[in-house]
Amino acid sequence: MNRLVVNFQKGTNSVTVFAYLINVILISLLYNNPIITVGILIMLVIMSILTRPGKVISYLKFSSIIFFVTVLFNVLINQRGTNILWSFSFLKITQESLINGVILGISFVNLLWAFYIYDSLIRVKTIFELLSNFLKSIAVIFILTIKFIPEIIQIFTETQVMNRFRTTSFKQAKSLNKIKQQISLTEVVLNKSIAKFMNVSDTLILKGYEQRHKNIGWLEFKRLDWTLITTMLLSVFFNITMSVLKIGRVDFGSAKLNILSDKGIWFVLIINSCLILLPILIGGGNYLWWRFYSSKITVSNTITAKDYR
Amino acid sequence: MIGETGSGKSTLLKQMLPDLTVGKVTAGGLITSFPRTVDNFAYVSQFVDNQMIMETPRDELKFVLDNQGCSQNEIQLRITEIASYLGIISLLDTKSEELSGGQKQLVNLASALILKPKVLLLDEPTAQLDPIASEKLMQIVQKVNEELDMTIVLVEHEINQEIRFANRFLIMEDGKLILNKSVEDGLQAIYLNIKYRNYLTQIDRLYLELGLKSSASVPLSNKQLGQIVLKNKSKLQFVSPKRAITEVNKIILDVNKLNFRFDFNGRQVIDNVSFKLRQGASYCVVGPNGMGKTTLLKVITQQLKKQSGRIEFNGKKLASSAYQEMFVLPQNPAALFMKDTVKDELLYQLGQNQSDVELENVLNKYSLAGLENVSPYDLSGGQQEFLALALGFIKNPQILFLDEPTKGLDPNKRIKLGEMLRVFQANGGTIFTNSHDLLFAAKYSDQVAMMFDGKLSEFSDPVTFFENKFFYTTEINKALRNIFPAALSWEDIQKSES
Repeated sequence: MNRLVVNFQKGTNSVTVFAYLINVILISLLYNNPIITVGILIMLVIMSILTRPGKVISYLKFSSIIFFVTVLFNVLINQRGTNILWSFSFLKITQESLINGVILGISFVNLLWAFYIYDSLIRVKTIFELLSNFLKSIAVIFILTIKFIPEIIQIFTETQVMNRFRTTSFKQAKSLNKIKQQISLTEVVLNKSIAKFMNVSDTLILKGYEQRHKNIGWLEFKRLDWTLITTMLLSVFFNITMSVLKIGRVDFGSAKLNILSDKGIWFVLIINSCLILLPILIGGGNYLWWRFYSSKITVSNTITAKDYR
Repeated sequence: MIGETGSGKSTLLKQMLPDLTVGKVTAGGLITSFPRTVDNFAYVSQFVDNQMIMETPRDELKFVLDNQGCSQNEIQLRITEIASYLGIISLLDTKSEELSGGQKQLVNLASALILKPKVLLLDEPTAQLDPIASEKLMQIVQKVNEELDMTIVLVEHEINQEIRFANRFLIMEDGKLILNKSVEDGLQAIYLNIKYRNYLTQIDRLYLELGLKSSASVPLSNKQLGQIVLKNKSKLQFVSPKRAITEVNKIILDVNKLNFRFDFNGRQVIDNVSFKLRQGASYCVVGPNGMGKTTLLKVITQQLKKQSGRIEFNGKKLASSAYQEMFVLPQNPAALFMKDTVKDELLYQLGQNQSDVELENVLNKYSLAGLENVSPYDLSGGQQEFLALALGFIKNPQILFLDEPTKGLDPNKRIKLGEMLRVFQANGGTIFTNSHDLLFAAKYSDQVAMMFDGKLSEFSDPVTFFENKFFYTTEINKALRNIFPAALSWEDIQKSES
């Protein structure tokens, strides 16, 4: 993780980070003007690279597939539009349906990247506490899901691999047999997972969750937390207002597409880009403050020779 | 408290916390002046990885205190106290996946102690740790006992050096407490009981076997034994253990300059490792947790793809079908199970190998008689290990790969396992083991090597390997290195006949 993002995470509490993530998801949901969505996509990818670079490539492949599938489906289903690009029998591809498909595809991809950032920055504790506020059992299901889906995948892979060592012949199964094998493997994996789930249930008992007295754990709110939460609330108000005013939105699915690129669009894009890049801006600000002010007035804690004179 | 695998030790321990119990109390009851809640009875299990819910130790400790409704100030104070006391301040913000097994178990202990319990229940807390990490954890447990005067109930498969700090010694057998005595009396009693004699520590076993006159009483420390043996050196002799000499010189597996890492810029988990395995020999790799032993095993058995290097099996490049001639017993033996009952597991394996061995014989041989209709997942850790071994021996592969095979086994079962491995070896089988169990490595391996930071040392025979180790060696070797440097187990020292 980039050190500026780490600085942001260290300087804020988990509720502030959660508010930031919800705001990012909202931004990626509300607009469909291509200029804004492409701009947002770039910002989201930049943030994703800075928060969890390790999985960006594989996620890029996954989101590209989603993008192309979305465009393809839209082009096939949406037959409206006047500028025909290609036609075959009853199927026609129009410029409008293609643009609609691209807009929808980018919007989907934006949402996926927003969740990528969410997954990288969210802490189990935050969600758990927010959920346990409403329903204890849902919070438990959440823990099981978030903690054990990766484990179930691991059990599946492990069982598949270990099963090979029990066989004595090298057989290439036919498709029907392969399906049967997969079904029985899934059953085995579920059996194994249940044992793991029981362990978590025991752990929750041992941690006193059954007798939980408080719904929300203790959190410390610093000035930066309040400032950021206020910023997020203003951002939500701003984005919903823009959306109601139809700034940054195109008449989706219409036969006549009118894509605006006026000052309002650029203003929305700049504001939202800043909001997405907020961890970098905050971390960057803190870095500059440290580099050019704090480090000059702070005595280093490195042991110097004078200590030994 | 010790006892055979599946004797009911953990079940008894969990009775202190009614929420953890499975089944019904049919008679009797527990008498205690405290309510049986988690703030009075803290429990730490052997499952190192499953005990943390949150992402960091700090969040975990906060979660426990939040559940108790503690105030902000109290949370802060209690975390500070426990983290300083257990020396885990630097770990508080480390992500759980970055913690080693020993560190995780320390955090689990911290979450148990943060509620200031009256009784600490430890259910095989060191089962998944390497010897050094186990020792560190038990030193802290002793500190808690000594300094805080906290009652501790420790359940183990075997008696370790910690017995010196215990006040009472208990044995559980088939659901009954058959012994409840002071430690000294208890140890003397089990020496006379052939079934439990092997449970004694190597130090106490040697002392009692030699019957030397001394004012010291069991349990002894390494230092005490060293002094007693030194005094009686003239009456004692080193007896070199008899080992079957491997005649076959055929190289079955040749690994050359193997490399593996998980991330692009990550640590080299296997770093240019080269070695050869000869047919009919047994090899053991020892080393601390997280040093690449399991990864090495996974790469050479093709569970993970090697990134560079060459592996030859029977003189040819390792083919993807090589698993037909190999069997892997993983750290978690349950990963091998595919069926609903023990009987189905064994019948499936017998069918795979078209073996005409009777099911009943297999059940008896592997101490599984009476468990045929039990789900393999409901077996105790040691029973699961033996079931998995049964599957391996039925397959009768050319190479048997064992990852921590003694984990969860009581001393008698370990000896049984060692004997079964010797038979397999005598029939031409090759064994490659990863183990923390230094005594097992010393007794049942022809060649031992150590893995650290992805590098594998050269294989050498156990005496050569262990005699120049200072910390990473058997207790007998630590105690008697200046008197009998080649002695690794109690059997290596005997009274002189003259």
